[in-house]
Amino acid sequence: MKHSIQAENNIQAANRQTPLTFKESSDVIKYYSLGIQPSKTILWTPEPQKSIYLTSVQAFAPLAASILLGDDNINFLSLRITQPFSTVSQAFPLSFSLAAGNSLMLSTSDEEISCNTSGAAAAAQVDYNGRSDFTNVNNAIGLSDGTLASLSSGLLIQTRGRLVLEYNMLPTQYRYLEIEQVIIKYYCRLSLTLAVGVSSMILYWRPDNQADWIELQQISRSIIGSADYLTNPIKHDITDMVLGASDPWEIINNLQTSFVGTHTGLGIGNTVQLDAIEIEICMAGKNQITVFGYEA
Amino acid sequence: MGDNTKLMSIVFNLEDPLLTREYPSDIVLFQTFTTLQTNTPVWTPGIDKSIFLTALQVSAPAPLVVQLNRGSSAAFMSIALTNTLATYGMSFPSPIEFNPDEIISITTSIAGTVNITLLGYEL
Repeated sequence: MKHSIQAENNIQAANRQTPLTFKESSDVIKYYSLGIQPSKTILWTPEPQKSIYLTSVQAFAPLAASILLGDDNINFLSLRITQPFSTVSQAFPLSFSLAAGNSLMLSTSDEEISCNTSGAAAAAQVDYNGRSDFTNVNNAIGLSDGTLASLSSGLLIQTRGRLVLEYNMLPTQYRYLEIEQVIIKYYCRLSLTLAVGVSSMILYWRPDNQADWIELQQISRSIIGSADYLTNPIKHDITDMVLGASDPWEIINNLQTSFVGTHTGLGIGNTVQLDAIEIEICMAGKNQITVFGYEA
Repeated sequence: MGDNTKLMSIVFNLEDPLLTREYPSDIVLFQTFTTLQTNTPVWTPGIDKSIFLTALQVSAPAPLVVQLNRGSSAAFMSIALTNTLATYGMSFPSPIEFNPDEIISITTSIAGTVNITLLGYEL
């Protein structure tokens, strides 16, 4: 910074404080990408005996959130973002100084959680123990708006088959979103009008098309009646498995679900149906925060 | 302000003088991009000089995220432009000082037109 020094005539005589000084430029730039922070997390710790002088803060939140800045003891600034993907900033013409040795800390509150539900993009049948007996395979795709209940189904009347569903559900701004929960919802039905054997529905998913199928549940019936999960789907929470991956969004981008139907005996009117397999992903924003300032 | 205020008697010995006037921003850089940008340099300072950023402004006709990097790829600021916020500006009363020879580069989240203006000076 180039300085123009203004000497005062009475500079030696007046032992008073100067009305205005601009200390220096902001040579500290700290950038953070942080999700929900219920308790204070340290952004910036000054060197021993030094104070933080904050000159500007800037934040962008992918979803509504309140971003609170404070020090060890108090919060002193709240940036509230109401619209998704909004940016706010605050610059201080006079730097905001923290007490010597105090760290700058951040927490969040009132975070918006956004949930998307997706039907499949494509449905296909592969053989299951040598048979591919499902008909109306494309009816198993389902719709993302939950209107699947009015659709007809992938239908199994003959011996057995396996349906495989693929998805296209990566949010465009996924880099700025954090997965909170992933639930698979299986909308399916099994109905027996003749007791001639065992009929089953087996539910699977896998992280990509090369991985082994992970079985989540098997529903079997051998007596007359039905198991109907059209109104209230069977839900399986796979959050832990998704978040356990090195890149959870990679799994969201590639995962597949599968539905196997089998009849050990064939009776007229005995059916297994798949209406849809939906994936619900709930996300929180990954807030991007920059603080500018210096230490002195 | 307390720590910034110095006694007059030692004014000429101070590293940081008492009364200073900010250097004028004599550099204005304006650029328009229409394709996806990944760590594209927008401001390269003169040899051994540092960028002092005093203001910036970005605008775009369609929503996208502009990421500003120091050096070739270390993000220091992300700005989301949306339908409701298509122009974003920020000025720094205390100029942001970069390291000597450190450039400012830009990364965009998707392909789309974006205009960026950087104001400041080099020392």
